[in-house]
Amino acid sequence: MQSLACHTCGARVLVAKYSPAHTSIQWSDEARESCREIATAGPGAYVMRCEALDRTVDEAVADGVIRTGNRIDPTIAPLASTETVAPAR
Amino acid sequence: MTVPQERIEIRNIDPGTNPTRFARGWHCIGLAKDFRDGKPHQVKVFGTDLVVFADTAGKLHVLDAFCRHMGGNLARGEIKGDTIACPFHDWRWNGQGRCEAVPYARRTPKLGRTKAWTTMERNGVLFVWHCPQNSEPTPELAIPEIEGYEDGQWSDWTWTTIHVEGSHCREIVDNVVDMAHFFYVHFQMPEYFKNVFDGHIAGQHMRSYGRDDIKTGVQMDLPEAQTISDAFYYGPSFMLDTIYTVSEGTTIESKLINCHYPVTNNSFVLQFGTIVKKIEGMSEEQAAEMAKMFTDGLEEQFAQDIEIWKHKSRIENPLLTEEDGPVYQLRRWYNQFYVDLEDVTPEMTQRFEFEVDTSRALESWHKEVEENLAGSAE
Repeated sequence: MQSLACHTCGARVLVAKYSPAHTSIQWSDEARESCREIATAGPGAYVMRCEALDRTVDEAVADGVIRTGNRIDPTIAPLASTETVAPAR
Repeated sequence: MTVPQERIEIRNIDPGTNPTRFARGWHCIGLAKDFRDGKPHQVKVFGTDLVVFADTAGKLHVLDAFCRHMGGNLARGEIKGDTIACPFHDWRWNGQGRCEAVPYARRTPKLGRTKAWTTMERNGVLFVWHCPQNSEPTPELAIPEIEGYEDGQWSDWTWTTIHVEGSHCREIVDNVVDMAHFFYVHFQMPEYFKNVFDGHIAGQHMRSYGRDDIKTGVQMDLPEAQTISDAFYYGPSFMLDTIYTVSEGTTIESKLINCHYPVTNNSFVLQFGTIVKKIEGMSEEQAAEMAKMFTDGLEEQFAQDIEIWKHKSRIENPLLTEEDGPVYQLRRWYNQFYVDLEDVTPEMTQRFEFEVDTSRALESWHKEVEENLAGSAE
């Protein structure tokens, strides 16, 4: 994924494009906190998209800053199977 | 001579193993009203047995099913006042898990409490909180209220319960990102498909049409119906979906619950229900009829999912194309419910968005549907 900062709030996210119509965006907690559209929705509210960030991605694609590439997925550990359970703190 | 394909390494399926622990989170165990028939109810869940009973005020309580005295099954007993009485020796347990009376004994054991499970009743359904570490739910994990549900703006829930043996419930959760299975298994044509994982919520946003070659009740018999669906998993097992079915200027709003609870680590109970919002000019019966048609359609669809699950392999390393949804990221999100609270990593809960490109799929599917229609017309 490629690093990209939102043109509106500066939130830095990771972006991948597999094709013009595909987009994936990996946020960090820090980026989420600086996003104005998410902040406007209120604490804990769910938002489907940040329009400003989507515009930034589209512009970055148009400018050739973000290039399309093949799929790369993160490695995910299998579900914890027999680990012992610690008492809650 | 070597054929080029033979040089490509064979990809093996890593089947992994089902986790032995059960997910932390709110689990819906059924319609609240079904537990208010004056009788105790046994629920097999999380590898154990629970009893659900209503007190005199109608509040539902959930306790371990087995009496701490001699192990009698409280679900086979009787509700007496605000307590559940064991059929073996009539020990009375209240909703907080305390023994209130042993009618034949001079002294009531005050120190031996049985486990009372944390419950929540919301939108007409009953939830039980499960946490292997015995943590209590935070308020932000609560299931949101459906607007107007308590004011009678919706039809009654239709409700279907299906036991699925030989499958881990992650199979059903995987479907939340599976754009292409909606065409093959559910006869839908997704035009837009996006997932967002954020904290304990996993969202699925889908805009779809029905297939012209295979009709289902999900289109509610409306011509050219478009389905606008925004579905959310609130935690590991409870999905609430808001669906607008739009056809010729009419919009039907419905809610779908798609939830499950684990019985063992290789079986689960799948439950789903729908309500339809009453609109001007729609009678109570019409709303109920709509909900029923929708549910019948869904029932067929879930039956097809189950057929797949029953015969498929567990797979930890799916081989994906660019047109598949974010299976790995979904599983990373899902893992947060299977590790101790202290072991939840930022990667599991950080916001992630994935919009699937449906253009290639639609091109291929429209062609396939046209061919099927032409074939059946001959």
